[in-house]
This record gives sequence, C-alpha cells and structure tokens, in this order.
Amino acid sequence: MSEFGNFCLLLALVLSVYALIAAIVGAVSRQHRVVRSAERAAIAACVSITLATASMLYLLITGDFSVSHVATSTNRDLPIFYKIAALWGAHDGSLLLWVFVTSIFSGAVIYQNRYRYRDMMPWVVAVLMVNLAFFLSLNFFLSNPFNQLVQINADGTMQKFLPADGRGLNPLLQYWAMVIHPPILYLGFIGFVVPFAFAAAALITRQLGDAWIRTTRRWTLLTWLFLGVGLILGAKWAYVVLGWGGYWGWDPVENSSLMPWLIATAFLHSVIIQERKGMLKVWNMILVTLSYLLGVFGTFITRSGVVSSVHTFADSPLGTYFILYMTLVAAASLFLILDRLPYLKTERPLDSVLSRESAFLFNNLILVVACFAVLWGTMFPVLSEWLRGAKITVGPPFFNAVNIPIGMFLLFLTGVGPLFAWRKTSLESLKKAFFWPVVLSAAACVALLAGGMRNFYSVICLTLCVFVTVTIMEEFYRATRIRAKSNGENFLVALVGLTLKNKRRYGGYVVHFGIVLIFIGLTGNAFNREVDQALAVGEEMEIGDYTLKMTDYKEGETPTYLYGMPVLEAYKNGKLLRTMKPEKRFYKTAEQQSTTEVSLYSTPKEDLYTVYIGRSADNRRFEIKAHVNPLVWWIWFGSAVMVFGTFITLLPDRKGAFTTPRLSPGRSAALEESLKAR
Amino acid sequence: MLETHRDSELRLLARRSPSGGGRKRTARLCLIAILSLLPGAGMVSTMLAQGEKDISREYKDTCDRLMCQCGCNEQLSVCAMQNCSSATPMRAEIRERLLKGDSVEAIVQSFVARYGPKVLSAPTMKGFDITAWIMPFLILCLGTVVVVWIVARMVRPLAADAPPSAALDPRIERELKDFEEES
Repeated sequence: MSEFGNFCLLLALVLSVYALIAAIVGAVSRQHRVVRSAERAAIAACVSITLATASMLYLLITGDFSVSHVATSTNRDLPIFYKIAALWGAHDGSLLLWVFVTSIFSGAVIYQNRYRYRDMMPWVVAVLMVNLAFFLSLNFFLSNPFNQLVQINADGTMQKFLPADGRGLNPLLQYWAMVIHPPILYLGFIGFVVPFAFAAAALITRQLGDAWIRTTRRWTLLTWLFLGVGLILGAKWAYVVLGWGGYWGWDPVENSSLMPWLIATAFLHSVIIQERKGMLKVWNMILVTLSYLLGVFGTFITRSGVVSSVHTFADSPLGTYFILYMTLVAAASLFLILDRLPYLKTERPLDSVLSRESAFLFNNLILVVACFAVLWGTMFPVLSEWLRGAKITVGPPFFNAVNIPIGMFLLFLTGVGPLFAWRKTSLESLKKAFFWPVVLSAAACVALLAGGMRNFYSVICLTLCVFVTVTIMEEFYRATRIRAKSNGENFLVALVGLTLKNKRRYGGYVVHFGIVLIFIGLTGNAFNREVDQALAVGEEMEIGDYTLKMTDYKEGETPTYLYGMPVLEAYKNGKLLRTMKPEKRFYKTAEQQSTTEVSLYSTPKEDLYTVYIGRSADNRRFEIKAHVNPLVWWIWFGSAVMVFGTFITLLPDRKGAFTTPRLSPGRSAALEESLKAR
Repeated sequence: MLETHRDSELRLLARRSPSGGGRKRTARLCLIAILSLLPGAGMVSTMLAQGEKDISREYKDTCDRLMCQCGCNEQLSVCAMQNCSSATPMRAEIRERLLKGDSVEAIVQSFVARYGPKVLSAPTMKGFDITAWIMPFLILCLGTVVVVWIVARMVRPLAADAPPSAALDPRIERELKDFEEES
C-alpha cells in the first residue's frame, strides 16, 4: 500500500506540472481544448492525491509500522480516532494533509467555474497548480510520508525494518479539539490560494473589474471563518490541555495563524469599498497577496524550525525552499500589480473625510499594523541573532504591551464605523449618532470606576465594548423600527426580515458583536489569580471565594497511559459546587511523556481551573495549582456568536444576485466550437 | 450636495422620536440599567483588593517577566513541568525574596545578572532592543500619515458638493434608501 500511495503522489505531481504547462499554453495560444485538458489534469491530480491520502489512512489504521510516518505517530493501543488524527500528527503526514486540502480546493474551484470566467480560468488553474506542484514536490522529494524504515546491516546492505510497535501519537495531541484544530486551520491557511489565484488571473488578463472579487468573496469569508475557528480551537486546546491557565501565549505558530486572519479581515472590509465605490483596487490586490503569502509563511514557521515553539515540527530542510517560493511569488505579484497600475485606478473619488469609507481605511490601517506588530515580534529574535549574534526572547509581555493599545483602537473603530454613513456624514447627524453610544459607554465607564476597577486597559476595553454594543444595537433597532412601521410587521419579524434581506451588513454586525464578547472575555485576563499548594487527603486550599477540599486520590491505568487523580470538592460560600478531578497522565510511549488534564468549573462570571502538578517532594502530598480566571466563558461564547454571524453573511443571496452569468452546457459547447474554429 | 441615507434615516426617526423630556427620562433609565448590569465591576475590584494583600500579584508579575531556563521556551509562570530543574528553584527564590520585601525590579535584575538578557521574556528598552518596541508604533504613525494623505487626495473637490435642489430631495432620499437596503 505504501508503494501505491507513493505512486499516487508522484502521479499527482506529474499531473499538476502538466496542468500548469497546459493551462499557460492554452491561455497564450487561446486553444480551449488544451485549457480543458489542463483542468481535467488538475482534477485528476486531486483524485490521485485523495487516493494517496486514503492509502496513508489505511496504513495508519492497519498499523503498518514499516512506514516511517506510521511508526513515528501511532502505536498498537492508540484508539482508531487518534490513528486517523495521526495523519497530521507528524511532519510528513501533515504535509500530505496540506497537499490533500490544497488539491480539493483547487479541484472544487475548477469544477465550480467550468462554465464561467473562461478567459481567467486558465490562469487561475496555472496559479493553483504552481501552488500544488510546489507543495507536492516538497511532500514527495523532501518529506515523503510513505518512506519505509530500513536497517543497515554490518556488511553495509540495507533491509526493510519492521518495529514491533510504533512510538505513538504525541499525547498533547490526544484531545478532541486538537484532532480537528489542524485540519480546520489548514482549510484557513490554504483557502487563501483561491482569492489569490483569481486576483493573479485578473491581473494577467487585465479583467480588473469586480468579477474576481464577487466570485471569491464567499471563498475568502469561508477561509477567514476556518482560520478563526482554527485559532479558537487552538486556544481552547491550550487552555484545557497545556495546563498553564491561559489560552493564548503569543507563540510563533499561534502568531503565524493570527497574521493571515488579520490581513484577511482587512481584505473583507476593504473589498466592500471596491465593490461599492471602485476604490482601493491596488490595496485589495496587495491584501489578497499578503493573505496568501502569510498562509505560506505560517507553514514555513511551523516546518522550518526557524523559531522555537511548542507547536513546530523538528528542524527540516524545507525552510530554504519556502523562502525561495515566497520570494518568487511576492516578486511576481509585485511586478504584475505595478505593471497593471493603469488598470487599477480608482473609479470614483471619496465624497467626504467624514464617511464610512474613511473609517474602513483606518480600520484597514490598524489591522495591517496589528499584523506587522505580530510579525515583527515573532521575527525579532531571528533578526536580533542575525544582526547582533545575541538571541533574545520576545514573549507575551511585548505582544500584550504593543497589541493591546492597537486592539483598543480597532475596537473603537468597530464601533465608530457604523456611525458614519457611506459617502458623507454631516456633523449634525454624527452628533445624533454618537449620542447614545457615548452616553451609555460613559455611564459604563463611571460604573466601572465607581465599582473600584482601576486597571487602565480593562476600564477602556469594557467601556469600548459598551460603546460598540450600543452602536450595533442602535443599527438593528433603527432599521428594524423603520421596516416594522413601513411593512406593518411586528418587531421580531421585521428584525429577521431585515437581517435576511441585508445578510452581509447585519451578519457583519453579529460578527462584530461576537468580537465584542471576545474582548470582554480577554479583559478578565487582567484579574486572573492562581494559588499553588500541596494538599494531603482531607486538607483544604482557598482561592478567591472558593475552597478546594481534597477528599481522595486515585491512580489507574488504561491501555495507553497511567494516571494519578486527586479528587477535589469545590465549595463556594460553604456550598458544594462540584467534584473536580484534575489528572496527570504518563503515556506508555518511548519518551514516557506526561500531560495534565485540567478540571474546570466554568461560569460566565469566572472559571475555577484546577491542575494536578504531581506529588510533592516528600511523596505524601499532592501539588495542586488552582486558578480563578474571570470572564473566559465569554471568549468561547463570543466565538460562537462570531461563527453564527459569519454563517448569516454566507447564506445564499436572492437567486441571481452576486452570481455571474453561467453558460448552459449547450451554449458552452457552442462556445467551445467557435473557439476551436478560431 | 447629496444627502446621505443616514441623514434621511435620522430625519425619519426624528419625526417619531420622543420629546426632549422623554429622551432625558429614557437616558436616565438606561444609565440606571447599565449601572445595575455591571456587577462584574464590583466583583473584579473586590478581587483586586484581595490580591493586593499578599504577594501573589508581584509574584505573578515577576514570573511573567522571566523565562524558564530548562529549554521549554516558556515563561516562568507558564512552564508546567513538575520539579523543573530551572523553574522550581527560580520560583522558590522569587517567592522568598518577595516575602523579604525585595522589589520585582531588583529580583528581575538579579536574574538578568545571573543568566543574561535571554532570561527576560521581552526585549529591554536599551540599544538595539528598543527598535522592537518602537517599530510597530512608528509604522502606525507613518501609516496614519499615509492614510490621511490618501483620504485628503481622494476627497472630491468642494465645488462638486453643491446642495441638491428641494425638488430632487425626495427622489434622492428614496434612491438612497433603496441603495442602502440593497447593500
């Protein structure tokens, strides 16, 4: 089966290179038949990669330990769920997953547009195939998951080596969120290739109207959603599995996922201006290119070993190839943008400085600066070592200090944006629009200060959260009221009708509200508390309003790990809340790695978070670390609201809206005939 | 000059808005509602007050500012390894010195003297390291200048902003409403 998988990978590589060449030849020579051939080859490459992935899954499930990837990422006792997850549990397999998702996306785009954009599609196929061929080459030549284990005999000859068991999946990855986190994140990283391919095709063919934007809007939104969900799942995993009481550590790999998300957020906003006003065409090209390049940069960070991170794979030789590829793509994109500048001119001027367009421009600026700050902090240790030979650490204190004010400004603009009208806003209407948000947020500020809150950023953040919430509610309220009056509907029906009629706008407001809730959750971080104490059975520890009483200690064994588990009763004001059972696990792998299993009591007000560190030095007590983390629940709830809002915006439009004319198969055949006749 | 949708929308609303007295009354009610809806403020401040009585805040600050030296690449406050050869003695020393009354800064500097600047979890504000702190804000300032310049350049000349005639007003209003609903 490994030979078959290997063959499928090679075949896919050959097909993708053929598709690339045929697409370019077909586009240049205007031979439609050659273009069709390229499209079919690309879809065949997709099928071939699917077969390779299926054969790897078969090898993982059946436990063929002669294959290096299977031997390094599974063992006999691993549950089947994690055997499937082992596909992306080590470097080679994760690259195969990357290639698989890339090929599925490429195939879907080609199939979806088989009757549309006939001028652009050959170039779209070419760009998609450049991307696919690059990753396939890395996967086949440098990081092949189908490589077999060999042992070298004393006489220098080699023979196949079949170990009795595998090393097993990294225990840190044996958590449900971690099983779905990488594939979802990959969907996010890779998805940006689609808008990028259309943007490049639009530049090459000089078809720089709104068509490429309209056709890629949902792709971009979906990709943005996947990346956002991937980030949240990663945060949930860090919170529940790593056991340090936090959810975001500004790790280089976390940062590399955040960067394309920030740029894509900027793109999703600025693209609205291009659709409405024909402005920011160059800027959108830059943003879409950056989104794609940052996606590739993310996998470069993870796979090159250039920075230290808990998430990175071991050092691999791929770094140089990634740098070369990113440089070539950036140079080609820059050349195309500069060459097509005359076609990217703004169609209409800005009506006023006081307009939503201006607010969007500033929103874009802040998002790009936030991305730069994250990139700068992530790469500064490398830069410092390169320039001075001194390696320094750039950790959470730096990122928090730099990004919190930027985040506050962004939150402010999220609230201010809807208060400005498109085109022009009079000062009088601004005064009216700002009245309630300012009054209520000022009241919130006074309430917070009166309540004794003195943390500067927390006060500012919560005040801004109220400000943004009021602006969003005001937007919904005003429009719903007008609709209810004019259509004679009740308020709720009018609200639903309004949202469904303007899904993009009101779905966007729901996303903004989700962001507000996430910011509320982040604010709680300033008030986290922790207590570290060794307890014997029958002893108690206190943290905040909570008392933790240790009533028992259990030990046990499963097929894959040994565990120790103190049993803690959590009381609040003398009332039993729940029994908490934090665990420490020792996996029966070669490295005997240990993990912590957090026990959590989560409420909207705060989380009581307990971790079992291990036995104390005298072996008679059990070291417990307890945290009280206020408002964390709102991060997960806000994320769910954000996803819900994105789904609203993704709902299909009225029939015919935002779609391009699609040729019927008959018309398409006639067109093909006429093209052949040329 | 074209009137924006928001202006027309607000005028529509104004026709139906409550009287000045009613508006003030509503504002007062909202103020009371929002004050009562923020029990979190009291809760959080109580926690703050409790935290100031012991060294937990200073301890956390110190551990946040230092990196564990075991090779885990985590802050001292984050390294979760039991009996870590680096984090455990460092934490014990920090706790002991804070209880003795040493300042956070003094403790941090003593660790820098022992391990070098790599023990710090963030760049210092000296020499080349200061560029780490300055660059994001420099880019923000430059970006702001560029955006202001772009906006100023893109704004339509004032002459084009002639006010619309009264006869056109209802039609423009209707079209803008349609335009807004379409978006």
